[in-house]
Amino acid sequence: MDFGSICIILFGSTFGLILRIFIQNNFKKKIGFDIQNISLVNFLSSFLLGILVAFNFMNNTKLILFYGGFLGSFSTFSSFIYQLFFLFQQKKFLRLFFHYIEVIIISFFFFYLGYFLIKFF
Amino acid sequence: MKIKNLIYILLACYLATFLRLIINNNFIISLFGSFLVGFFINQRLSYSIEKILLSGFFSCFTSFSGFIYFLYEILNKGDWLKFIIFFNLIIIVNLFAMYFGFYISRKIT
Repeated sequence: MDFGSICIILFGSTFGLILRIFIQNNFKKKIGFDIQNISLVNFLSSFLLGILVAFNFMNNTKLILFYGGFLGSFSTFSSFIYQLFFLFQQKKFLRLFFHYIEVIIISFFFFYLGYFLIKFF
Repeated sequence: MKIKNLIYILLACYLATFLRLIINNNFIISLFGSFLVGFFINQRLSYSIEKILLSGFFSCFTSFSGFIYFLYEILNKGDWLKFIIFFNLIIIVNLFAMYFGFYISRKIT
């Protein structure tokens, strides 16, 4: 990995982390079953991932680094699992089931929204 | 948030990002991350340490976009059954990894 690649990853992860913390602290919304601010972060990252996939990012080194640096630090899988674990601990199994189905469906909706926005325009 | 804390969170994030890129296997990363998050949430940590670990390290270490991209690749092949099995399996396995970490942490303390 060269110096330029490290700089892109560091810049991307810094921006991703700060944006995630900003959204986590400022957009406390509850929509549907239990969509929290961390889910909003994951929906937004799915949307951006859709855009990257439409640009065929696997053939572009800079976009791969953006994916590894920015999107990797912006989106968070452990917080999503922690949300589910919290419901599991409270024995709210039905709510847990609906929450994860809801997050997957909405994430894919945003993913394809980003993907088709680039493909068609 | 204090500047000092933000710098520590950023350093944890950089370490996590490079570890993720070196390991380069989303499933192992998510399992390891879920287990350790489960372990640490049961520990009595100070607010700043909790932020550094959970918001800085583990959130940057595990990647939801990597999970979605993995599922997209399966979906793109038109394999709906594999898609449904994988997304359920990944979530259930990670949930139990987190519970296992939580359980071990409770046994130790």
